[in-house]
Amino acid sequence: MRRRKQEAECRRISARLWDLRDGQLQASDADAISRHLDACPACAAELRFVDIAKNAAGTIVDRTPSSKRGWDEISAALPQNSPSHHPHPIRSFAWVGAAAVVILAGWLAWPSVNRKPTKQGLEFEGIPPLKVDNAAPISPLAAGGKPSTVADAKSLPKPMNLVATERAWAKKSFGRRPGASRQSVETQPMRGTQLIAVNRSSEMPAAVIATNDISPTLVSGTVPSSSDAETMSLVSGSAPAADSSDEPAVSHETAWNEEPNR
Amino acid sequence: MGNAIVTAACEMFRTAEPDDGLVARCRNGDVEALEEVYARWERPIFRHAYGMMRNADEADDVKQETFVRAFRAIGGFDGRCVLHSWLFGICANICRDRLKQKQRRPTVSLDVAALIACDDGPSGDPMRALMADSEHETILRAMAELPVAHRELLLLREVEGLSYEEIRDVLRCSLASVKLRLFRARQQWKKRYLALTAEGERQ
Repeated sequence: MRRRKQEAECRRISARLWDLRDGQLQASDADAISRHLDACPACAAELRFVDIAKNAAGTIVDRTPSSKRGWDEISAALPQNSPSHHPHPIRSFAWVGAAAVVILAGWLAWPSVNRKPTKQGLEFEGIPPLKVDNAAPISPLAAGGKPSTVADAKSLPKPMNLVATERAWAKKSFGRRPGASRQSVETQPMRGTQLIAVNRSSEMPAAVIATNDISPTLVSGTVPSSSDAETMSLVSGSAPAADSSDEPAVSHETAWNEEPNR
Repeated sequence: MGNAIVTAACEMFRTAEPDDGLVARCRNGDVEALEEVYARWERPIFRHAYGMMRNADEADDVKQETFVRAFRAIGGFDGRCVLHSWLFGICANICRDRLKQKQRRPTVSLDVAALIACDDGPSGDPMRALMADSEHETILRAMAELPVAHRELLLLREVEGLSYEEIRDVLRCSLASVKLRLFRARQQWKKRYLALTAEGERQ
């Protein structure tokens, strides 16, 4: 029992020997430990280790080599002598302002960006550009005012009907599911500036007609004729963005009911 | 003796200008204040890095990175601890990261003795230079062979003379944890020392 008590006391003392050497104990505690050390050779040996260790650790301070790199390198690494890296208030406002301008510009530009593909778009999507055989303007497709897709289509030689092959076309161009393409066409009529005559069998565009002017012109390809009605479909690659409410809507339902070439 | 010198030097630095004023000047972009911070703590930071990395060149890199990081982030220094605890904390993190990277490299030997023998810079074997006599050599060798966490604590306390509270701020743990970990580190240090002494007697 006494031995256990002695061991516990030695553990307690040995844990405080480092503090004793650091001078962090109160005088009464230091006296008590000193008395214990006089009577306990094991703890006295422990204290010798503490002394040796502290002396050895002290030599590290004196013997550590000098650093070769100095202040110059650090000052060079600091950004523009502005080490605190506090964001400058004027600079912060400038960033916020720039971000606001970009967001506003994006918001304003969105309607013009959100269009169906133009000729350039078709080229971009891998459909070869059309050969321009007849660049001469064709007769106005609609009398007066801005022509609409449907009005243009109706003005074309009969029986050139408006058969929408958007479904297959969109699938080919965008890889969309037909259903998704149909929904987008129904809920959001095409906007833009062009009519595209598409060959039904190959699903390739044969003519692109610009309709955004008073006098629609053939952008590329050849003018579809009545005889092309069996092989060609007219796709509203575009429609005037303005005054769309005054014009008859494109009969997409009819178009979709006619199953285009797959 | 070394501890006394360091402690005295620290006290001298602290009485020269309080950390608060110096930090405030640093935040305002006062380059002279930054240079003063560097002059005060460059040597202890390098020494700590040297004790951790055991290579003068790597210690130099750690020291430079410590001060660059510190000066870039000094705006975020909240003053909840003393400046040098904050600096030692940054230094300790860099050392730990680098030692981890070292361990991941398959070409680097993990044998501590091999590191002591081979991992020296152009200035010569640092640990051998430190081991002036056999007893000190054994003690320092024992410290060098300790795990990084133990060595880190012993360097902060026994070499740099940081208080328990300052070590707590460096390691971001509780005061009780510091005392317990330091107690264990010292025990391991002694255990390793006795083992090395016994080995030496056998040879």
